[in-house]
Amino acid sequence: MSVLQVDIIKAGYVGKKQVIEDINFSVKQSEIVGLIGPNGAGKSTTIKAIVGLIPEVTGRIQFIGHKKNYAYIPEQPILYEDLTLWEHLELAAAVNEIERAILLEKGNELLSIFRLQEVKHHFSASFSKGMQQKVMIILGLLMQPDVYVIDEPFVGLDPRATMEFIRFLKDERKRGAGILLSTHQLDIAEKICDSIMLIIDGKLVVQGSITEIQEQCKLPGASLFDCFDSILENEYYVTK
Amino acid sequence: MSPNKLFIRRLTTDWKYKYGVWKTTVDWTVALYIVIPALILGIDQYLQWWKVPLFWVNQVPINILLVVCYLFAWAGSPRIFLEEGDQLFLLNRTKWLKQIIKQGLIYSFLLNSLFSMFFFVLLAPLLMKHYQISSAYFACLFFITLFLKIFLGLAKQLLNLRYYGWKEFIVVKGLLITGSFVFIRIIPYSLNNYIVAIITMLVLIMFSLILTLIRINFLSHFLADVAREQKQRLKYVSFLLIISGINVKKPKKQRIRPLLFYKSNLIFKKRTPVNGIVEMCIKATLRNNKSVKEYLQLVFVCTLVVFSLPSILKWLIWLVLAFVWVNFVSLYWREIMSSETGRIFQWKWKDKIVAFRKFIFLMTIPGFLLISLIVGFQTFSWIGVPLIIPISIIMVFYACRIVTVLVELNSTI
Repeated sequence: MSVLQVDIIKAGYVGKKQVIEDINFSVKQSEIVGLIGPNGAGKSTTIKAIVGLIPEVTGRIQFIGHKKNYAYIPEQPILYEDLTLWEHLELAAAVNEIERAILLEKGNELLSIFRLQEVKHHFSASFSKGMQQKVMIILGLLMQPDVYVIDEPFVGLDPRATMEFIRFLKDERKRGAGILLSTHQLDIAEKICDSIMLIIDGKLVVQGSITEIQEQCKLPGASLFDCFDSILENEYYVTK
Repeated sequence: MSPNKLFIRRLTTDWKYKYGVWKTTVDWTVALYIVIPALILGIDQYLQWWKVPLFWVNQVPINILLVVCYLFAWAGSPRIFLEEGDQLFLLNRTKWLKQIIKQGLIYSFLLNSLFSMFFFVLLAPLLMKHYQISSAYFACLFFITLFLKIFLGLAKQLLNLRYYGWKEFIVVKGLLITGSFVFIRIIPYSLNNYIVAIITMLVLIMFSLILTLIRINFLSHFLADVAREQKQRLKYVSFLLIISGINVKKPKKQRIRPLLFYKSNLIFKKRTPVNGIVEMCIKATLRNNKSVKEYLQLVFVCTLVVFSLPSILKWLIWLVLAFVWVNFVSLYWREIMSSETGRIFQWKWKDKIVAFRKFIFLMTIPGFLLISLIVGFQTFSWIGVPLIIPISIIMVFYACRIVTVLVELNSTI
């Protein structure tokens, strides 16, 4: 069962209305979909179009899960500078009507796992970028949504936090959440994603499981990194 | 490229930037209808000061004028024209950095001289016509203020770099207070004795030179220097943008833990989406020094207005103020809710509307009640105080309802 259906005809910004075009895909329950591509290919624009952050979108985006909600974890942490870390969790819990007992249990558990328990009553604006990124992830995990829309989550995370985050993504997949993950970390994408989409110049070039991509590239057993390189060098730019 | 050329380039860019903002803010309509008439009126008024002494000057003791001079000397900080990119290219070339700082300081001293001249030209009719100060004493006061401005600018900058947090507050404010007392004590004495005046000037020049040398060689706080430079570069620009009605968010020093609600304490026990949003907005407003300062300033101004008005007009203005306050408080809401962070929470429209109404009601009540108490007390003496409280609350309640309906109709929440 799909939890997110994306049919974007075109999307972009004021002054540049067609950054991406013909992006069609779905994210199913218990599926992690990786969105990869070179810098400036349109990954972040796709993510922003899905969560309604850009005005110029032609097409249809549907959250069709049970709760019809999503958690968005942006690339750049954005937090209220006058609220403490715990107050962000309180706000997320209040807005998403999460029971207080669950907030206290799960919130504290997440803070311990991401090693932020000591600073829970500190202003989040006083944190390093990596710590702020952890807060964004915790907020997402606390909501337990149908869909996660995650843009470059590993930037700024230390190795241990990266491992914890991957573990949580897997747990959330087990719970039934669909996850759309934009990343440059091809090795991680290869390990955890059920399906990969490659965007180049605003267009969806390749889509499928790692085995399907290997077959498309005629590189059986190759890494995602090699397939990515092969598509970019041999197929896409030559035919272009 | 040499350090001097690099400095000239930075200075030119700085002026071009300021001119660009000035041109954007002051277009020909603003110039024609506001700036030019204001200039003509200002010059005319100034010339009048030379002819007819101001009626209120008699009430102003000379010490107040000296405090004004001291505050003028206190204001501002010398520019050193360092940029963020210097950490890549110049941080290990101290000769270049020192030369740029030196040029920046010379430029700042020249600018200080120009500002001081302008300031004293403005004060001249007051000092020379009303207080009958001779030209020589006037010149002494000018030079002492100018050298003091240079000295204080350097001292403040170095202290800000050296100390942080409460220590910085105590040291800098200590300098402000003790300095002003010393200034008020020494100046009248100097104005009666040329030798004291000259010694004061020499001491100030000597200390300024020492501090200049320390400043040029003080390169260990590069990032703090760059942050201050950026702030200063945007200072006048922010001012121009604010008077054009554009909201400018200034970078602020971030505390690690809040003073209010130290342990993220809850305001509302009942956790609902509406209470969550209202709680967030109240905490964000109360923890923001700028917002609290504006709130208190408005209380002060409104209190003065209602206090000085005759009875009937007082009540009419009180009625108007209820709506002014509700609208004023709604600006805080807009500022917080327009933050990018809202993107990660999916607010429901209905919750936002109810939260807006609750927030403006709760935040309007304290300020408006204070004003109402003055109105009640002035009109009905002590009996008016308990009477006005419920009336004010009902008044604010309905004002909030009306404003919320209007906001809802315009979909501008």
